[in-house]
Amino acid sequence: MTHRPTPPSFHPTRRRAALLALGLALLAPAGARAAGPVTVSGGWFRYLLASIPSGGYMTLHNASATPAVLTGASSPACGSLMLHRTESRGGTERMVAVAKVPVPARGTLRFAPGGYHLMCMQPRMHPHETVPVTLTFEGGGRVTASFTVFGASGAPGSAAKPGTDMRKMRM
Amino acid sequence: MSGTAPPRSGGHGYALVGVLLALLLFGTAGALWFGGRAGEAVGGDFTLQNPAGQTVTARSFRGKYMLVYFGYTHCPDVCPTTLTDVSAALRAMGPKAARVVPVFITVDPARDTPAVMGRYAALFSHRIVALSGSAAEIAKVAGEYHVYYAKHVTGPGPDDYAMDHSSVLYLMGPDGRFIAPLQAEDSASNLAAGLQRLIR
Repeated sequence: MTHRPTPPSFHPTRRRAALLALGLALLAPAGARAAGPVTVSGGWFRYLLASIPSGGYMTLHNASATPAVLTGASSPACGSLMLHRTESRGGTERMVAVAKVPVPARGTLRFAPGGYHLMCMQPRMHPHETVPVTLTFEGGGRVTASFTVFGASGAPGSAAKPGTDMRKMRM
Repeated sequence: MSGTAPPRSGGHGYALVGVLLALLLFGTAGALWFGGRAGEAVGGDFTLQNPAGQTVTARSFRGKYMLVYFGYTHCPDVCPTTLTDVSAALRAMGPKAARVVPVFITVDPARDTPAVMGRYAALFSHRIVALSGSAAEIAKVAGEYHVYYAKHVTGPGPDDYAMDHSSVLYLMGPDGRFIAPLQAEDSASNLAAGLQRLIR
C-alpha cells in the first residue's frame, strides 16, 4: 500500500482544533469578565426584521451553593434588552416582563421558546453573526456571553419547550 | 373465603382517583374552552387584506383546508415558534401539504399592515397567507374563531405594548367547516402527524 497515515501532530484537523482551543483560551477572559459562579451557554437570537423585536434564548448554569438572581440584560445590538416570560393560561399566551429570574444553586435555568426569553427591542444584527450580551445579577455580578444570530426558523432543535431535554428532542 | 383475596394496595385506589380527577379537569377545561359558546360554530366568513392589498374572504379558500392561526409580528417568542413548526410540518407532509393553506391573521392591525404581514410571513414559508384588516374586520374574524386578544401595555411609549392572544391552530375543511383544533405549541412532527390524520 502506498498510502501512509499522516502523523497525528501534523494532521490538519487536529492542528486546526489546537489553534481553535488556543484561540478560545485567549478569548475566554474577555467573554467571562467578572464571571462569578454563573456561566452562560447556547445563547442565540431569532432575528426576524429590524422593525420588530428579536427573542433571545440561553442556558444559565449556577455552579455555586447559593441561588443567583438575574436582574437585567444589555447588548449593543439591541437598544433595550428586556427579561420576558411567556405565560400560558387556558390556551391564551401572555408575554410579561420579569424583574428577577432566579437561577437555582448548583442548577440550570433555560431560557427557551414558550418560557423565559430575552426581548431585544431594536435588533441591529444579522443571521450568522454573533453579538455580545451582558447579564447582570443581584449583588452586582456580570457575565458577558456571545450569542449566535439565527433567522426565523431559529437555532436547530430550538422548538423544544422549557424543561424538556434537548438531547431527547433530537431523535 | 375472603382471607384469600390479595391485599389491595391503597396505591391503586389513589391512582384511579387521580385519573378520574384528571379526566374531570381536562374535560371541564375542554368544555369551557371549546364549548363555552355552546352551539356556536368555529369560523365563518371574513373580509381581510392579503400582503398585496387585495381583499380576501373565507370563500377564497374553498376547496382547500385552512390551518388558521392568530398572532402578531411583534411577538418574539410564541408566534415565530408556531409559524416555524407549521412551516416544518407542511414540508414534512409531502404532497398532501398542497391541500392545506396556512393562514396567519394578525390581532395587532395597528402595527401589522398587509405589507408588514407579508414580509414577516415570507421569513417562515411562502405557503403562509398572512392577513390583516381594519380593527373591526379583525374583531369580527377573531370573534368567529373564538379567539381572545387584548392589548397589554408594557411601557410609556405608543409602541410599548404586547398582545395577549389565544394560541390555537384551527383546521378548517375544504367546505369552510371547522374540523379540529391543533395545539400550537406542539412539535412540527406531531403537527404533521395530526394533519396527515385529519386531511383526507
